[in-house]
Amino acid sequence: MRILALLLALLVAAPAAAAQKGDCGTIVIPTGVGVSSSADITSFSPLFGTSLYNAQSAALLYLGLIWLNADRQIDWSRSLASSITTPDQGTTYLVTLRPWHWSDGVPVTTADVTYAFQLIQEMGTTYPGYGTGGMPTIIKRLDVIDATHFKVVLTRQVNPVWYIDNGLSQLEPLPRHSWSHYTMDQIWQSQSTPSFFNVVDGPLKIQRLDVGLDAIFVPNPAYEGPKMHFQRLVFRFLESDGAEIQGVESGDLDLADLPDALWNTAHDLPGIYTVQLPPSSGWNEIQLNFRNPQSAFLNDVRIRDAMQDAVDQNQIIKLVFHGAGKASYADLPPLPPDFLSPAMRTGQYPVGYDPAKARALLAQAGYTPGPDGMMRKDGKPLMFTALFSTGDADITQEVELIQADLRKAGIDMKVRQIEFNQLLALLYGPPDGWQAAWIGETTGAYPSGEGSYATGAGENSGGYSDAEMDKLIDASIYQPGLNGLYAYEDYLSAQQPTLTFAEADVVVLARDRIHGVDKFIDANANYYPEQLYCTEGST
Amino acid sequence: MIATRLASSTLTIFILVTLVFFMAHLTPGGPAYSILGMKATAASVQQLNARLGLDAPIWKQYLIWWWHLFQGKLGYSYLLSRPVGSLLWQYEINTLVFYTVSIVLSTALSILLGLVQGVYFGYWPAKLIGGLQLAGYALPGFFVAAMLVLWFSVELHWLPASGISNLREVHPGVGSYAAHLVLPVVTVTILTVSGLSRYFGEAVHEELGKDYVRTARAKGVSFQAILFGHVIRNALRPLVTILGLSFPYIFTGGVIVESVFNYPGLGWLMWRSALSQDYPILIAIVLIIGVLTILGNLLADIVNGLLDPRASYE
Amino acid sequence: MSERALPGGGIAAGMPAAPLARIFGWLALRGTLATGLAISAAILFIGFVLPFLYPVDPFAIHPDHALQPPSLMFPLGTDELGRDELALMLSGGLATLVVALPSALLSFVVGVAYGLASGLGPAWLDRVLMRLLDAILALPSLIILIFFASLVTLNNTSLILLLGLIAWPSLARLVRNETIAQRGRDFVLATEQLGAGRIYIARVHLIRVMAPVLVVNGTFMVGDSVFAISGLSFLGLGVQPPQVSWGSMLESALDIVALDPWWLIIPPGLLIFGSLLAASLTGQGLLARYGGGR
Repeated sequence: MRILALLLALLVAAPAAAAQKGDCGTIVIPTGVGVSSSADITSFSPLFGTSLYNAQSAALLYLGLIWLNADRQIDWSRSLASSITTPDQGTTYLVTLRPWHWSDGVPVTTADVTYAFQLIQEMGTTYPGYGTGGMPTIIKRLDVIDATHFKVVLTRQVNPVWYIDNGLSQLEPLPRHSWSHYTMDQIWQSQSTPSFFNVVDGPLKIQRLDVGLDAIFVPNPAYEGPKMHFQRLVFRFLESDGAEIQGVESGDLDLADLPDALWNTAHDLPGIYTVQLPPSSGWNEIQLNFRNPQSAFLNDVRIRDAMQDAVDQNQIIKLVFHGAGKASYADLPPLPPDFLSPAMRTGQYPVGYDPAKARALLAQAGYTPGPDGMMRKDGKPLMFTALFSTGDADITQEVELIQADLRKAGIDMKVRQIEFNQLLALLYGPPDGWQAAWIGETTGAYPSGEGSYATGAGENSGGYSDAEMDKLIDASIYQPGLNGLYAYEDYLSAQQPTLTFAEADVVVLARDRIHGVDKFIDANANYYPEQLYCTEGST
Repeated sequence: MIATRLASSTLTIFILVTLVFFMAHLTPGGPAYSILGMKATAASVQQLNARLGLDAPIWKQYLIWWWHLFQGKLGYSYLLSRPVGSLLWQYEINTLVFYTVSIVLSTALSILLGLVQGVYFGYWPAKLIGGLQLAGYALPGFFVAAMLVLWFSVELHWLPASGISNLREVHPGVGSYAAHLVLPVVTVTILTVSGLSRYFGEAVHEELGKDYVRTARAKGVSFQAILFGHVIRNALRPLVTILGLSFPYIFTGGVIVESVFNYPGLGWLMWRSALSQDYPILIAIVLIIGVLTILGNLLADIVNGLLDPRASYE
Repeated sequence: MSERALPGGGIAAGMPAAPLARIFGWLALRGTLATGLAISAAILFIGFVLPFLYPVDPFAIHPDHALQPPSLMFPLGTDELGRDELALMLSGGLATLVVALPSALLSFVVGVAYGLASGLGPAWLDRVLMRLLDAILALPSLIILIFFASLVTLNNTSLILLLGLIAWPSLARLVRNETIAQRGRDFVLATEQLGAGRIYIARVHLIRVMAPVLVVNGTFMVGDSVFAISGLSFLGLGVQPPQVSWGSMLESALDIVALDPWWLIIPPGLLIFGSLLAASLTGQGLLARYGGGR
């Protein structure tokens, strides 16, 4: 009996032992894996991040006040705040910090929060998050109660869901004791220097940056969260999907993105399996530059609606993404039903594939087809140039099909490919540097538009300005409840300040030895490095 | 005289640096926009320009430019958030290694092939080599590299297709570096030898036709003695000239070859900077190459002068 | 001599024309010229005629036929976007040659003009122009190309101008040296005595004397031009998408080399090779036929 019990115990224990998460040694993955094509990491600073890749790196080093999971709920196990309350429904917020330490042993305190706020204020309008969540001007006072409690008082009452998700979350504690003797200039100049970021409170530390090539992260030995199952996590900067597939096939990479275009040829390579990821919470859009005299004509909402009506997104999804993707008619991510307006919940949008309506709208706007079928007004053709980034076969196909659809409606959208970081630089550069640009977008957890569509907003690269939109945005963030949000959403879809298009569901190629990939990447483009592990005995 | 050459080279360098300065000012936008980004109002751009000294009259900026150069400040890359100087050195070393190995190998092979070609002129070995040279000369570098990668990396899995070392190893050994160097070096060698061996072969052939060779043969000196004693040394002169001219390539590498193999050298850096329009880096690299070329020419002239004391300067 | 002697681009400046004759005289002379002209004709046909004969739209994408090897439907297979490779190759050929040939012509004209001006003009002009040339030649042409390509919007016109304004220096030096050498000859002095202007001398006599050298170098420049535009496109700084060129096709193919797309690598590579070979052979053949000058 005893022996049987022992045997049984062993039998049960054996699979458990086999499922032990083995150490992976060095894991090598491309930047942006599971989210988008790869591009360089050029900064580790949580303050300056404008690109996805930089933001992802900073998130590996520094924990935020709150962590929002894919369902737009706060995951308190990954947040530095242990509780947030607003006793007066939206004007005052009381935040409690959980007990946490920096990697050098110094505790994370409210002094680090005030330091972050101080830096944000010092940057003024050059702060990338300026305006999002009302920051920083919406804060009337930031009071420290003690080392783990602080109070934020706003200039007015706002929708708490909106403010906590979009605004309060920006008060990410920064290592005051490590950085306070540096000037703002020095902090700015050191943003790609790994040694500057030697005090962190997140799961990883940055060991080395080979500019233009790769960034090497190692586990933070003092991290008080789950343990990592690797010695080094290397992010490689690759120029294209092809290079990623090359890497995963030769064993240089553990993970790679698989664009739908290459599905047939690359989905059954030896030693590699595929991982289907949950649909991302981003979407693709063509941003329009209203400040550039050459594309200012796009200010006419009829033209924008016509362009959106001219494109058959479902056809594109079928052709390019093999059916795996969802059409997008407004600058909104896929949202749970209660975040969608009543009309949208039933699938009704002011725009949709309707070529006849597109032609009618263009006629209303004063455009008539010329001899070559292309629309003209006062002798000038309806023409503009859209930039999009290199390296992604899916995007190239999608853009070309969109271009073809627009041509059928008489709209001449020329395209030009440039490298991603350069595209970003142009978006934030002089007004006449671009006319239209293709970029992936996502919102904060509360999908209000104050960061992107309000007049003068930080992410409003094209200079879109509409009084009604400003009014509705304000209503959505200042009034309690969600009705303000619904009204904003409906207006957003009718206005089309940017043209939105589908983003494909992502498939990732993984080498056989690595596991946990589906939990490593979430729909909000966050990475959970502790989820990666390898089969026992492999390095 | 060397002094004249030195003075002349200095003048050329001065003109070059001035040229590059004006090229630098053709670049659009300016750094202020990169820093301020979206918040760039006319007022803040002006403010930042004043702080960075970008609004001074052009002659003043020119002098500041020289002053910075003397201090060794080569500029700041706003796209990569790094001072340019710190970047260049890292990549320079990689190119140095890559190109030195290639040049040494190419020179050795070229001398060998050129000797055969010159000595057996008119016979089949020379014609065969001539044909190979012709083919190798017409082959575009990226095609050669592509075929090598296709064959040796993808088909045979013998050699890595890109990079400089295996990132999986925490401290990659010499073997890892060597393996990653093979294909790039072979590509560059194939391309270089086609042209280099032709010069040497022609020079050998020309030397062999000269009077002193005939005289020595008539006097009974062995062919080997003439060949190794005199002919090669004289035939080396045009080779040295070419090598001197290729001196700057040690510092930039083959841009195309480095890009194909994603080999992180200076040429690769230049290519990536051009794609992302990172002008500070581009300017610095252009400047360095220009100066090194001029110095390379100077060096070649001096070495030639040593090899043949009778040589005079125009 | 052309740039490709040294990888990465560069000009072996100042190499005298004479050894060229010797080097290329080693190969079968008559066969060389004929072969060169034949290949040139083939390339020109492929580049300028075939694209209009083959009815397929190179930019039509067929996502469900992506990345397929040659078949009946697609004679040269398809690329990763599902475009017909043969159509792309023809379109790319046209795009490549449409930039390469005019820019070679531009370089040629500028180079000859500069060289003549330097050689025939007053001594101070010669010194200034040559000094400037030295400084320009200090920068390897590919480097300059890359730098300026990053500055300007890249379309056919700007590419032609860019390439055209880069390749002329070594020709200029050659022409200037030849001019200086010919200037002292009797027939030139005699003509000057008779009151002929410098430009007349240049146009009628000098060019006629230098013709063989000019034609030979011009031929090489065409090859260099094809190489330059292909190289630039390969690096992403030449012909811009969605328009393709042989160089950019090679780059896209190399990108997905892990999937073994030999039908995407070999055709454009062979055609570039063919163009360069054609230029080399024709040039050498001409050189051997009509002599190379002194």
